[in-house]
Amino acid sequence: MEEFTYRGDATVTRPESLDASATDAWVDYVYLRDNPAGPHKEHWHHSAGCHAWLVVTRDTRTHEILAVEFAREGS
Amino acid sequence: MSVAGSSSRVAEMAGLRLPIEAHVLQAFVTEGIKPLLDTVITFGAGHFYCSQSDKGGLVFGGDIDGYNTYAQRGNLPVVEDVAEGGMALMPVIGRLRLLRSWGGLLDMSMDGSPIIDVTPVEGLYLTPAGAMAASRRRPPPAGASPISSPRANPTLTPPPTVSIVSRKGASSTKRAWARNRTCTEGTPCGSNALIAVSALWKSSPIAAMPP
Ligand SMILES: Cc1cc2nc3c(=O)[nH]c(=O)nc-3n(C[C@H](O)[C@H](O)[C@H](O)COP(=O)(O)OP(=O)(O)OC[C@H]3O[C@@H](n4cnc5c(N)ncnc54)[C@H](O)[C@@H]3O)c2cc1C
Ligand SMILES: [Zn+2]
Repeated sequence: MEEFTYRGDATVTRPESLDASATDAWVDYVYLRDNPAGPHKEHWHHSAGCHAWLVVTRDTRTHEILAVEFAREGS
Repeated sequence: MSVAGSSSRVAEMAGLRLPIEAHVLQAFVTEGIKPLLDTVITFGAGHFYCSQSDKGGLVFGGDIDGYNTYAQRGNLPVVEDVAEGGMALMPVIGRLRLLRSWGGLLDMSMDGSPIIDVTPVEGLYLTPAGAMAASRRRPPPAGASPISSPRANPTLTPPPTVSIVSRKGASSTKRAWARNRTCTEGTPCGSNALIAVSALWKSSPIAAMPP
């Protein structure tokens, strides 16, 4: 049981368009990742709490949390 | 290139961006017991898998921790989750002491499919990357890879997986992609194990112990 749920990389942006011309943008969004060893911006959901969506900056080498902001302010 | 959890970092040196995230998987070993399992047993619904080592310890694991990490250590919620899966599949495991646990890095592709591929950089090949957590759809470790270099062996056709590896700055029209399914044919994963486990407890020395 986890109070906060990891919801993935917060640096990628969902394409607006569903046209075939946006296919490359969708591939980038769905598949390609920087996967940094160091600070990483990611979505966390306070799933067993107030249900807020957060953008957490976390060092992937140490798990140290460097910053937390609400997703709606961070985007 | 065959560097497991370091794939994204090493690929970056060649200007490549991979469809990969680094995640941690934990493994657990119990004290040694008499022969109990002669195969790997697993079940998908709880995602737990277990085998017995030559020294008698049960070696088991379950899901990855589920967040990007290079820290090579796991967290407690997954320990609880794995223990729960173990108790659901084989309650006898609750009578054993855990000797140790550890975490190691896995390359995870975004759809869980393994990647064995050529890259846009001449002479650079990606060998198995992108394991779905162990024993489900895991590709063979690089040493066991059936693919040798197309350059070294010109009669070998490059593998059918088409790359979604992107080269920074390369024309995006050169990019194509395909899914490489390993688990859609033949026996559904886990069903053999379930058959094996159901036959097992009757003869098991632990199962005979009082609760
Ligand atoms: C906790 C855990 C439990 C597991 N349990 C099982 C199990 O019970 N049964 C099973 O079959 N599989 C198990 N696996 C999976 C199995 O361990 C892996 O699939 C397998 O080890 C992968 O082999 P590999 O050669 O691809 O990568 P690795 O064995 O990780 O080798 C990659 C190598 O690349 C090196 N490297 C990295 N960067 C560089 C660089 N820049 N230059 C040079 N070298 C570099 C690393 O040091 C490393 O030696 C487990 C994995 C984990 C994490
Ligand atoms: Zn909250």
